[in-house]
Amino acid sequence: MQSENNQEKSGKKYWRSLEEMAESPELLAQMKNEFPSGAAELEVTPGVDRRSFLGIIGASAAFAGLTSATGCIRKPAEKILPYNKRPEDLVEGKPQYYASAGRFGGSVFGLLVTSYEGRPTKVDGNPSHPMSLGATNAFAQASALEVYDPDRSQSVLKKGVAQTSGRPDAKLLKTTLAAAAAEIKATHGSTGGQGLAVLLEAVPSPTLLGLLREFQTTYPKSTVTIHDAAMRWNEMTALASFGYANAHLFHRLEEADVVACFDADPLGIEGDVVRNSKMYATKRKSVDEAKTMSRLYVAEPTFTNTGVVADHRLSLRSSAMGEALLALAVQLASKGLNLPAEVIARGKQVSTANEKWLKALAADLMANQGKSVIMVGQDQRAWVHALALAINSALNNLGKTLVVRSSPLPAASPLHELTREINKGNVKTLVIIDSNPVYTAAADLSFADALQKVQTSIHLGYHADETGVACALHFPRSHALESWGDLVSSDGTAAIVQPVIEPLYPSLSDVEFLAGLMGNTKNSYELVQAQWKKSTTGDFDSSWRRWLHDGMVKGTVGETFSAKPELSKLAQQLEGLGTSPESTSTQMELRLVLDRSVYDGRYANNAWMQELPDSVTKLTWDNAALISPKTAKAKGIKTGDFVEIKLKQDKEAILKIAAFVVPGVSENTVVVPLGYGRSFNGRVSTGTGFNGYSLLFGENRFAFGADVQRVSGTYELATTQEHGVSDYSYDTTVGKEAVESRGVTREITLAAIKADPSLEETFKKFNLLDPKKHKTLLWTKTNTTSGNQWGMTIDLNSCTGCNACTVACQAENNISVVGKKRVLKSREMHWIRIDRYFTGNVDTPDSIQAVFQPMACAHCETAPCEQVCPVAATVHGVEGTNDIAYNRCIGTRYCANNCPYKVRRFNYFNFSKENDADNPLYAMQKNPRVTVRFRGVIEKCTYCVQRINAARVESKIRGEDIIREGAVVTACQQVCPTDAITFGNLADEVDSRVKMLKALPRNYAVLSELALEPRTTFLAKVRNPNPELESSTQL
Amino acid sequence: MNEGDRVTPIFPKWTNHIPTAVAIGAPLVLVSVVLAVWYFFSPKWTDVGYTPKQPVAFSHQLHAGQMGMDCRYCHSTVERAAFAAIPPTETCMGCHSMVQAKSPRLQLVRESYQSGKPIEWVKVHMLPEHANFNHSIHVNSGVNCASCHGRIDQMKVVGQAQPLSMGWCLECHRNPSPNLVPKNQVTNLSYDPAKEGYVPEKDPHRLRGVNPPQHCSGCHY
Repeated sequence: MQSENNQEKSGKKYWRSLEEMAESPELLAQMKNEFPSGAAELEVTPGVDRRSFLGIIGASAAFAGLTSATGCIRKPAEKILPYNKRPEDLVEGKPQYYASAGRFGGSVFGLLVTSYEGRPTKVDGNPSHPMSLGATNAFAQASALEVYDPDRSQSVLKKGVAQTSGRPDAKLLKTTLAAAAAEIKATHGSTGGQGLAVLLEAVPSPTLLGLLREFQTTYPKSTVTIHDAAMRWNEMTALASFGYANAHLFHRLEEADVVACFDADPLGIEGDVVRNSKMYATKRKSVDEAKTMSRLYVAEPTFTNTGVVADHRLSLRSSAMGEALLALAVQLASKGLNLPAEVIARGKQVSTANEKWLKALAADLMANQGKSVIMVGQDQRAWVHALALAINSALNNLGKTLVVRSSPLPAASPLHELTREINKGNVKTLVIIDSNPVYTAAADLSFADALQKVQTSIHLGYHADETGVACALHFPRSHALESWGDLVSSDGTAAIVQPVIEPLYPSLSDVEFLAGLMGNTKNSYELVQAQWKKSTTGDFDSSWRRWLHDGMVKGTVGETFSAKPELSKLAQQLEGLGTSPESTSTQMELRLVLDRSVYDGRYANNAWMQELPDSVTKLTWDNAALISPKTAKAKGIKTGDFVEIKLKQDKEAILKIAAFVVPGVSENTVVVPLGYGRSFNGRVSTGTGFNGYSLLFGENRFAFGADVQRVSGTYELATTQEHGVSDYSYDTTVGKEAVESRGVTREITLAAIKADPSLEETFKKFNLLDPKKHKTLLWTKTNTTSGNQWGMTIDLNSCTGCNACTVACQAENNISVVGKKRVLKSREMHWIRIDRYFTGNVDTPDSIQAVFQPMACAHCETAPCEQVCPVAATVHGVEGTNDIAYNRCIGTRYCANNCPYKVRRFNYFNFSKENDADNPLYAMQKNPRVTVRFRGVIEKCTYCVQRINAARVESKIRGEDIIREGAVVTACQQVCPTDAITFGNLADEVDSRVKMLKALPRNYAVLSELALEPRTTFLAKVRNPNPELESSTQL
Repeated sequence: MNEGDRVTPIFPKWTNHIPTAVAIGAPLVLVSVVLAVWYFFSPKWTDVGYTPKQPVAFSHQLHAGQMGMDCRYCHSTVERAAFAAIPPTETCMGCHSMVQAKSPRLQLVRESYQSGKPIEWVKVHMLPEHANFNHSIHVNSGVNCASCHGRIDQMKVVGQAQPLSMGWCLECHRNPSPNLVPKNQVTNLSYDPAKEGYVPEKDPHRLRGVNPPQHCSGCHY
């Protein structure tokens, strides 16, 4: 079989799904079709047969003719409504940019918000903010849509009932807040706040926390509880045990040559992902010049973004992490590292099956003392964090690759303590600031029941969510783009949060709410200014303006602990840990993880995030129980089957959920992403996925002894993992279809680069035909040497598959959302598809590796799509772009069929109109510089031609024909936290960075044998395996 | 068969001429339909001369013509942005709080200024939504306002002077030179480059040659 020949030829076989790996006949039949199955089928409303459907079409065509006959006499009159008084500095049609800050997935970073005539349309990173450096993540991108969420709370609720009918009422908001403040004062004023509790998220806002201190001064007996998905309680406990009170760890991956992650996902969803990714990438990009690269080890129970890019990945269940770390400590001690004797003694009691892996890691760590770091995931127990810190300290990494910093958050108790107090009857009044504990609390707390025992519960929330309707009183919250605030990032940099738009509905910001409950009616601007006036000397107004302009407060650095940890305290923590059977037992482990699309559920009503394919499973609109192929086989479970997960701890919890079989999950483990299955009545979130919180017990998101059984019924899961496969071929020698490896994704090793710097030999195995052997082209090649000639490179070595580019592209280019049913028919519209390829043996999770490859229109110089367009709607631009004139397109889809990369998207329906009808406010997010497409036209990546044209106008006005390097930044390039995407002018001999990258040996064109001369090329992925671990060096 | 048994013809004799008439007439009809569509459906016929009634009887002839106000006094964003913005009511009131302050013709302007509600002007030059036009680059390249808008300074009520069709745009994009004026003459609507003998290529103030885009994505994106 040809595929086997190819497999031998290229060494490794890459596949996107288990079906593709097995070359299932159904998939092969699908791939043979002109369009993905279902995509081209006619959809007729049930009950209408084909004949009557044609009748309707005929009738409506006749009507259309009538109306257009009158229409052609005169276009309808349009009105122009100028400003009455034009705001200062505003030029109609030109975007304005405001520096701000935001907190996404537990990380605070600086933002630059784009606004058109007072309408925020896009949220990007602030290039001068150290935590963002111009990049953002998918969550930050999606916040541009969040502000226009049609289901956001619009009025005060009392016991879940709206207090206004029709128009939102600003007056009612104020009077109700004043009444609530009076009630708190009456009830708790005399007792000093006895029975008064405040629950909030871990928001490091100086103004909010200042007000909280004020609140606690007024009511000294009140309690503060922090409940947040990103809160690292165990790390804090571990740090406190070493004498670092109220502290957190800050990582400096730019200094780390060896990174070892134990259940941690620093490049995916945990902590300061944007900064971590930027810094990690600098250590990978050095491969081209210095021929050096960092080495990343990851031990994890299921693929995370960090795990996918790892050089060595160990499939390990979360419960076995601590023991693996103990075994590592023993290995390190045997190599001479000075660790407390008790740790070694304890470590020698554990047996591990992964000795070889840990030994290799230990050797690497010893060789890179002071240049390595061990990172532990937030869900690991406190002693694991303590042990990792002890090892990091012994390796001399503390103060170099990781720093202990003091946390700006106040001392607070976790949610279970608050719940205990409520159940004891000790809480009379509960104030909840922007938190949704009824949905996100652990199942064993039964927080919804507890909440009913509180006499007065007051909630501030962006949505009238599960908690909002359960509370006695709910206030609508302003979006971060609508109100003043301030935030401190984990490196200590403070930034002012600046509003870009007036609140769309009468609402309160966090600070206004808390101040209001103390009878302070100042608005958020006054409150934030008052806070900063306290700590400013000199001219406040000019400092303030400077902070707003820069997007950060100058001179804020926070506090760092410099003392060495008291390692003697470590032994105490390890005491009492018996030998656990967990690491070797065949009992099922349940692992609950934060979701890469909806996080803890807060983005569940965001259509962009729901339709965003997950980095690894490529699932949209749902979560599923992830399970490894081997375990699934043993239990008779197939993808789409319903399974029942039973967990019996204090009480029994059952969740019926669809299963998804995916390689890379540890054996005997079931992984359930959180954040779906919400009972909140949102028009986007309703009916998506299954609620994993019903299985959450206690604070740890993993549990042992789950019972997973297949139950009757199946569920349709919309995954895009097989969409756009370009590896299909028909093998003429045996007359059989096959999935053929065509070197679409290319992986090499650092050793290979060193041995073969030109990579000619290394790349031979990938090329079906040597690109140099192309003799004559059928089509004339375009000019590539003068003017502006656009090109792009995507560095697979830095890409972490974080999806930020896909959402940024959606925000910039007005890309429609299609819904689950249509994703199932391959009708999704994303211009950037991030392909994820697996490689390895499915039955041994340790051998499985994965690669990400973003795929968008490559702007081929001899583009096959242009050659088949019957109406010349898609043609070649003089600057090398593959243009589409939407108004010319008649929707034959010949181009989509002829595109070898499968990157053209067709508007099967009037998706943009449907989106606006479903979510009336979404239209406000649209980028006015990009056409909103209509039914029946093809669309695809344009290289952000609107940005090219804007830059062209500016450069021509300046008197230059050639657009300067860096003047055009595509949306995907701008957002990329690893700078994997580079865009620029190929004809620029001097400054062009993209030209320089294209000259690198690891630059290649996908399907180069077709001689398409694509303007987007890829830089091959480079892994840096440890020679001691042979299994992964066979590249 | 006998001689006298001639069959009576079903069709009268004149029908013999039908094929000839059709052969000559059909092409004529076809050609005239094509020509009619060509002419009457084109923006030259449908759009040129469109002069809608405006809510305020503002005369460009008076302001720009007789008084000689520069276009940019009101359309101030024309050099910087894609739109030549219609001035805010504030701009009108800058003068009309003093001049003609009580004129009944300015009643709507005063009301707008007090109420904060914008005046609803009727758009005259309507480009289709899928065509992106940028004023700033045209003005900065030295395209006279009159090239597209005609002699606004002679219009009491503004009407469309040019077809603004794609073919019309491309005519100039293919050969821009005849329509270019020195940059300081852009708002001088009576400036005629041919009469003045202006050659853009020889203008020392031009830093670059004018090469307007002719590819699709120059305007459609």
